[in-house]
Amino acid sequence: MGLFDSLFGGMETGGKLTTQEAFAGVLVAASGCDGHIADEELGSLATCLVRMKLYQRANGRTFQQILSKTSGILKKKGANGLVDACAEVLPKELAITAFTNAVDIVLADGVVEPDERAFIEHLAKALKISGETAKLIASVMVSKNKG
Amino acid sequence: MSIFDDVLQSGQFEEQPFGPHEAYAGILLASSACDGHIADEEVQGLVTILGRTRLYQHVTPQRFGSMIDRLLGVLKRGGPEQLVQKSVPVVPTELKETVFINACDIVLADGVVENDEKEFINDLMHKLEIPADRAKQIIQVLVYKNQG
Repeated sequence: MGLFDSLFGGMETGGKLTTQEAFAGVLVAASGCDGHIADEELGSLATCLVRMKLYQRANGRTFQQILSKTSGILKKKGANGLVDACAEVLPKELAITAFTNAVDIVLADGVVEPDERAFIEHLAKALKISGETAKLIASVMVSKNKG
Repeated sequence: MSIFDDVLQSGQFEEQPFGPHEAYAGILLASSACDGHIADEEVQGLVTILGRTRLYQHVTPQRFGSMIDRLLGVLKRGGPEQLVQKSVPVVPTELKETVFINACDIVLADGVVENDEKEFINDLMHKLEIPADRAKQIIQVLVYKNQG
């Protein structure tokens, strides 16, 4: 056991994520899957999350903690690593919602880079979204972001 | 003869028809207002959505602002129905499905769908000539997106 283990117990990024962290984490990964995440991207993510019932009782400080914890994991483990950690704890009924919003975020700039395509495929597998459903979601989100 | 007839001969104060910019934004504004009211922050949210849309990339902030004012004027005078009626014929064919999806997304964003909102979506689907099967798929995906 390391000398500082008892002191840093509450500050580690290890350990299971909460449902709130897992949902936000998928969207943080989607924003960061092209290799970087801008502050305004985190800001617009927060705007999207605030509306959800899942975050009804979360205040500004909680949001900041959720976003900084998940973007910390993104930095250390990459987008796929973050997705894997989130998929472990995300309830089934939220997985499809997280996937749909993630695809919307990735497609928002109207371009899909090869690493973004690979990210969406990894995400669908990790969240156990069937190929048919994933295709349907992608087709609607592509059309949504065409304008 | 009205006192304005002489001074307003040029027609510069007459209402101009909508172009694609007005039409796209008009349908989204109507969808924000289809439950009978529109809050300032809803207009602000809409401005953010439109700001990201490539269609408005080359529109100056000043023109954009006056376009929103004009659309709000039509909404106030004629309601969402008139806004949709003036917009639909001018939406470019390739953006019909796009504007329909974004309109449904706005309506579903609060996680509840009232009867007048259902009617609005149904009516919009017919006017934009979205096939019913495709509209069903679209609604299904947007329900996924906005639950939770």
